[in-house]
Amino acid sequence: MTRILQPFEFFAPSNLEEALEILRTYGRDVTILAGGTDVLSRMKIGALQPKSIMSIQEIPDLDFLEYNEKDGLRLGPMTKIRTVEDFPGVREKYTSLYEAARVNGTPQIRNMGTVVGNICRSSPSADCACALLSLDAQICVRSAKGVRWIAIDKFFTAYNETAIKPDEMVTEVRILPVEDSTGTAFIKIGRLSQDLAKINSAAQITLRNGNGVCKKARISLGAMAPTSMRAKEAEKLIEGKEVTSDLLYQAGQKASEETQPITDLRSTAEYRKRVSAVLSHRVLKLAWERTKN
Amino acid sequence: MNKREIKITLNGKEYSLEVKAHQTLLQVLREDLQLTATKYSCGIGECGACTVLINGESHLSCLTLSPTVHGKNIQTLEGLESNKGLHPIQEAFISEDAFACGFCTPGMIMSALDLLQRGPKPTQEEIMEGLAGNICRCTGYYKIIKAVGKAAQQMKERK
Repeated sequence: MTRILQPFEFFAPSNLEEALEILRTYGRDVTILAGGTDVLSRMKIGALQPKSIMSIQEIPDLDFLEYNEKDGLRLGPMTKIRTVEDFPGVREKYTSLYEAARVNGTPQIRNMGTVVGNICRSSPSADCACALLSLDAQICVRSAKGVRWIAIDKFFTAYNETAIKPDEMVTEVRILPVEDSTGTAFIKIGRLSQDLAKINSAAQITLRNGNGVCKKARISLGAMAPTSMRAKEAEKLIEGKEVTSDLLYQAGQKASEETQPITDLRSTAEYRKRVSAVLSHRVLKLAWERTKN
Repeated sequence: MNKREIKITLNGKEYSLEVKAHQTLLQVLREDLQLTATKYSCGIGECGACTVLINGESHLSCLTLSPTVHGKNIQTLEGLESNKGLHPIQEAFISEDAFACGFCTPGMIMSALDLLQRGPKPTQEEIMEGLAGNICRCTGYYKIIKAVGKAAQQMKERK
């Protein structure tokens, strides 16, 4: 075998306190391993060389997924992408997250990889991360010192960097219940559905009761900037106005103006810029159509 | 720690092994246990040749650290054959000529097994999605998809 791993110190704490103590002691030198799909593949190509690895797989109660009308959806740091995809509550209430989870890698990757791992990697093309951004997810991080919540909008700080400090780890992601007359959608453009995205986009639209005026709009885009991003000017354009196909077209144009794409092996900046206008229009329209259900 | 004692159930048998922390499950299977059906190809989770089942679900053994499989149930292609003979998926791959060089076959069969355990009657589209994590460079996939459909039919009839 040519792609092998270099030796490292391995930890497998059996409870959360022990894990937080390891993080407090080793900080940046320890890499957290959940599903392992991203950590191990990056180690094998030499992009990541951790001194130590801490598996959180043996800590009980980190693999949970629940929905109730009050708290909304709660998921844990060991909750697999496949579990999220298969959960009826996700499909019914947060369709965009279901649609993102379905195409977030191959069946094997979805069996292994976690949704929390998908956001902690802070890759600009991450599918679940893009959907969670448009759903205003809240992220709970814990250290030996205590707990804090971070809005996902403040979570992705740079390419491959997040607001998590070296002694912290994510212990929960929460999405509040969506309001009535809300529609959500996610669409990815890639060579094959399981490939990394050339562009992905997710939207959430809530209408005021009884009329077609938009109360809340969210549009997020992936692989269009150093991190997954919200197109906030486009959101402002829609909010408070009566939603029409033409308005959503204009919002798509606006969203595209807010992006800063690069050229890489999956696509060119020029293509991304043009197609992001079409894609965000399309995903907004789909979310709008779903407000009727 | 740099080494770990692990206990696993592999193809129905209990094993106690000492593994190095940086060994992948694939290395332990192929190099320590000489179970060479599971293949190494890309090494970074793109091709699916190293697919095994862990607790019944398809996993990439090249991206699985061996110390993390402690206490788990692992199935490789070697465990599919029983005293009744070959598994229906294996039989269908033979009768449909679903391989040429055969290198991707163990991974394909393990992914097919995960798929058929989830739902006994997959559509062609579901078979294609279920095998989306396995690359074959010979067959063009057509015969593989047909074989999995046939295996699904036979597994249902046997029940």
